Amino acid sequence: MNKRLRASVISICLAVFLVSCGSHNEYLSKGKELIKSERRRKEERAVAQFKLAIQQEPGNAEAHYLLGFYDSQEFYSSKSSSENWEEDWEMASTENRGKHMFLAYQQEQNKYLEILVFETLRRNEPGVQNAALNALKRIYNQGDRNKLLKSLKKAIKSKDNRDRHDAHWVLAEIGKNAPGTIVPLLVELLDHKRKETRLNAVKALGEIGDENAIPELVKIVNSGSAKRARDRESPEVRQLAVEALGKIGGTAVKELVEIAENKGSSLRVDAIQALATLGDERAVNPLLNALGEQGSREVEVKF
Amino acid sequence: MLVKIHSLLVIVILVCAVGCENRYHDEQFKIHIQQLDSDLENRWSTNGVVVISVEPNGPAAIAQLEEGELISYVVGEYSLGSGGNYGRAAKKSMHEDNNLILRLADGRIVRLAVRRSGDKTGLKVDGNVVSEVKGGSPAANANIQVGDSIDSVIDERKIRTIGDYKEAIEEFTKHGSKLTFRTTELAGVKIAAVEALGELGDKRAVDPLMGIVETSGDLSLRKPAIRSLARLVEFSQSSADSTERVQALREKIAEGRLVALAQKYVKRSVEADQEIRRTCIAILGVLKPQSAIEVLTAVMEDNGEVPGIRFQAGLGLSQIGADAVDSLIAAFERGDANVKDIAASALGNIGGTRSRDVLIDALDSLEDLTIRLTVVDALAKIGDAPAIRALQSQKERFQDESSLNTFLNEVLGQLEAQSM
Repeated sequence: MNKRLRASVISICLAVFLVSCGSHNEYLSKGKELIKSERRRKEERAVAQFKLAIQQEPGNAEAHYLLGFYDSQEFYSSKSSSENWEEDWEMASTENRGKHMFLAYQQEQNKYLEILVFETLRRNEPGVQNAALNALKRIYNQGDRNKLLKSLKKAIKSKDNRDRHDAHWVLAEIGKNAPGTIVPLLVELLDHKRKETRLNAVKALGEIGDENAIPELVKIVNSGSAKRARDRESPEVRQLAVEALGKIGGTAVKELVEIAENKGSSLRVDAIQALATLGDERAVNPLLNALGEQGSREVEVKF
Repeated sequence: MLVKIHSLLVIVILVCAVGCENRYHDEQFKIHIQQLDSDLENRWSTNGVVVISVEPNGPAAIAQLEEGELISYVVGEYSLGSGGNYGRAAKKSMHEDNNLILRLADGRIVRLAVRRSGDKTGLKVDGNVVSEVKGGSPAANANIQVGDSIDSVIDERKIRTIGDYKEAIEEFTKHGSKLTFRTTELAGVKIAAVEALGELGDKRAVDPLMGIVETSGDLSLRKPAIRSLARLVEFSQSSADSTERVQALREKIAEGRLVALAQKYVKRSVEADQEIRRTCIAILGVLKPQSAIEVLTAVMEDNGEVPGIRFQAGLGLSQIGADAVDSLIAAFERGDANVKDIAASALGNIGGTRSRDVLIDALDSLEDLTIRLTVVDALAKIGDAPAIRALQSQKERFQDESSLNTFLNEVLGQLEAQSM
């Protein structure tokens, strides 16, 4: 009985596989082969194949993804023989590359969400990363927002530093337009057990620049003098929290002034430096007071 | 049983009250202190507790301890004069840091350091008089002799926590004869503040920064202070803003005290630090006061000054412009090769018919090749018809002198290209 069941499962899988092979796209295969080859201008030529693949089969997820991944404006210029290079050039904009990646996602949501967050962003090329960011922003606005955020949370909690860094960047970029959703999500991560995750959350909060993050950041900064070691945030995270306050500016100036005035704080210098870049005149008097502070000395007390 | 639970509860509450607090009110000395950030020691090599407030008329207030000071050490002294016990005092002094510090009757303070706790200092004391010093011991190395009398034993306690503070105070007020707080200035704060004030573009910063340049003995503070003043000057002149704040800063700088300061500290006889002198020139170059012409010319002519600074003084005069031409011509005519070189370059930068004519005359009379090259360059910068004519006639005259000729060809070629 068991054996038969297994056999039937296998045969069904095989059938599905064969059917999917049936919609085999020649241009797509040719493009993929080119990418793997060592040939000259292979990416540029592969891109041409991916475009043909999409023409033939507008719903081909992989062709869309690969076109978004490999297309580049560097391929097209007035020097090229092609007459419609300007059109091609425009097609290769970050916006359009992101759109193709998003089209791939629309065909196969789970697969391409995973690929975009954990593979595409890792590619150390600004063009590819920006296209992926564009696609992820589209997913945030038009796709399954919850799944996207879940995936980004998983990435920022990852053991791998690249995932955490990429996720912080995407969350910050999305957060600039949607602080109401992203800031609370990041604040929640400030209690995460992994220090590097908290670090990236703090950085993202600074980059978003939303004032709602200020109280949480201040709490982190001030935890340095907590009596119990486990209540103290690590110096690195605290330092970044001051930097983040500096990036937020606005009402954070008041908090930075307080840190700069707190004689027991290890982050006075950091706070002063943040105030210097903000250029707010509320910082002037506290800084002048700091100039008047006593130097090292001995004070005898009678008893 | 009930009593047991009760007493346990009391202990728990007590531990919480004592242990969970990061602040403490010292009722004897009338101050409030607070624990420092735990990473201060790692980041700034600073330890201690910070004084949060000082109550008026208390012992700490009378001693003029101030709010915000970091108490890094509490130093106590055990007097041996009135029957104090040397052995016990020495043991306390050496506890933790293995240092025995003695105040001798002749005024010396000696520090005897042993390697490990329990090692001997090589000293025997009877009452308060040294009765034996072992050869080769720390005591002998510190030059203590038999018969020296000891006034007191000093005990330095490094303070890291509120607990350390309380312990030290209790010990010294009970058994000691003298108590001193040693405070630490948090390194970097003032420098950061000085640098930040240069960025904020506020007139209130001008006087305090000048005060630091004039009176501070700390070069690591004076340098950023003059740099920040230069930043403010630059900002006040270049900012397109016409806000009240920028306006106020401009007026503050126009009062002239800053110009006077720069003119004073640009002098080698007043200021030893090169960077400060340079920054003063930069300030004068931006503000372009006529009064600076004399002092900048003097710097330019000062043979003892660093060549780079002399050259910079020439640039400062170029920035002042037409008003400096007289002084530059005079310096050019009376100066040695170095002065001529700098002055010619400055005259070329400023331009005008008078500069041009002096330079053209010089072309005919000068012997020194380097200066001639500078003059050619200066005339090329001026680049009007008489200057070009003069350069062309030189080309014919110096057909044999290859380096000058090459340069002339280059310069004239460029001028031609420009005029086309």
